[in-house]
Amino acid sequence: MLDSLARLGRSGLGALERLGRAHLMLAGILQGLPSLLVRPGLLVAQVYNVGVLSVLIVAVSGLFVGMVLALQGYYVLSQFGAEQSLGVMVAASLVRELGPVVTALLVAGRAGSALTAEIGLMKATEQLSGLEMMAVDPVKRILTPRFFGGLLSMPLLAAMFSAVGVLGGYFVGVGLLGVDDGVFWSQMQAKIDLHEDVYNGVIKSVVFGAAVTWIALFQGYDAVPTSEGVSRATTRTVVSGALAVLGLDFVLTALMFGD
Amino acid sequence: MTASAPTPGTQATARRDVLVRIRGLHFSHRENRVFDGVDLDIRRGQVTAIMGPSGTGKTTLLKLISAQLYPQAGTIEVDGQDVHRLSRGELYRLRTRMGMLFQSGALLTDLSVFDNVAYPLREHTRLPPSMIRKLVLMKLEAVGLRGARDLMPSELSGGMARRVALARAIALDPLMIMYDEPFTGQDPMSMGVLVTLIRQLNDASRLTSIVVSHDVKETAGIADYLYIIANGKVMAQGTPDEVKTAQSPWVDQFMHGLPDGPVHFHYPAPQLEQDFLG
Repeated sequence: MLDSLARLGRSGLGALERLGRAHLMLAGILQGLPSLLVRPGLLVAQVYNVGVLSVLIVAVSGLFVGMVLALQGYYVLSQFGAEQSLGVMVAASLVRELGPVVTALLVAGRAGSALTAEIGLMKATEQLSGLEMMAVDPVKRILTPRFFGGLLSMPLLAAMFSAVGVLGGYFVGVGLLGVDDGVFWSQMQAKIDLHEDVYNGVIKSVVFGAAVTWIALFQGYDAVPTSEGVSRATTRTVVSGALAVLGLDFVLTALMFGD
Repeated sequence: MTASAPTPGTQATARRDVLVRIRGLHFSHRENRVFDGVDLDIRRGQVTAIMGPSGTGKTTLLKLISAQLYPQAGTIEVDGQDVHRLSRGELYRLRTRMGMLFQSGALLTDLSVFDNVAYPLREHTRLPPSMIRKLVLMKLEAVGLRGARDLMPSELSGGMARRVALARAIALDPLMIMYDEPFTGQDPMSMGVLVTLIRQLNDASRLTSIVVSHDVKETAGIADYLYIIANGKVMAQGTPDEVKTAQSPWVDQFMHGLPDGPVHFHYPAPQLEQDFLG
């Protein structure tokens, strides 16, 4: 009984310690912003790594999600004779919810795991210690550009996901199911609100970008510097990143749209 | 010749002569006591070797000297500065004068050989690119790899990677270089090159070198002074000849690579009869 309590206490303290280290790392990352602004090339390289290299998977996923949304939406809406509202339904679902959330899940899987593996391997091969010994702060030099690269890339990728998804919905709704072309676009234009829908979606994707990138970088930076340790850290990034995105999505949705 | 008490003047001179001064060092990692009151001096201009069996904390000692780790008690002074009392900025300024050669080389894998060596120069100086190019090529020439400047770290052999790392470590002309197991896993030719380079660089650049190793022959061959560390303490110290002839069975076993002695060949176990006959 006492042993179980002691184990529980130890794991609780361990979790708190990790949380503290993660916040200290985040503080270090934010302190590195001024030096990043002096060397924008580092940021551009990371926007390429996190953002541009994720474009294909995000665009293809967005296309299929939009097409499925149109198919499913059409059959539900047609039961109420409201199939002309398909464009609004597809766009609202994508811009408010699916764009930011699915993009964040995809980025956690593709770019997040790559970031964790990269940082973990840099730690395992003593590259981070090597930087320390060259009097270069690895948090500012390595983590800060990656964090802001992820933060900037996420809303852009989410916007791309939503745009391609709307096109996918258009192909299925208008091209296959016979929804009127003009009605599809005009209803969307009339009902999608810039503040209520688009801005809130952007806020969500920025928050998800910060969460996913922070988790990925911390897991790599805190990884046990062995092949097994890096492998576990990579798995933790995908699991924790996905759970954080879904949890934060509920909180943000409640704050934005809950009355 | 009779021994006389050192005067304050000679004490001050002796202290100036010491680049790294360690006193009363205690360090534990979890339950494991790594150092238990270690005193140690590294003299300027010399190659000092820290030797001992695997797992005795030799690499940990380098990390303590470079303030990558903090001790539970004791002080480490480098060039008169207590490294564990420095602010981050002061520590980074001191580290620009300390080079370290890691066991793995620790080269940045996304940069070429040239860019790896140029890295500290670009980070810490405002030299024009043409000057940086000349300096990098000079450092690479010193380690015999000027022709390998465009290779990536993945294209280098283990020995070449360590030589590039050595060129990077001397890029800012440091006061001292710490070598962490420089000979491990090297073929005889690479080992010979590294042994020669460490000695020549030390003498030509007036460096102070700390070599952590358990390769007795190679290390004793280039060191001016040896410390043998085990069980958290300094077991022996002196010039290589003094240590080799030390009247200690333990040091004798280590220096001559004997399989049995005070450190037993067998890990502690129950009696053989008890295990086999029940």
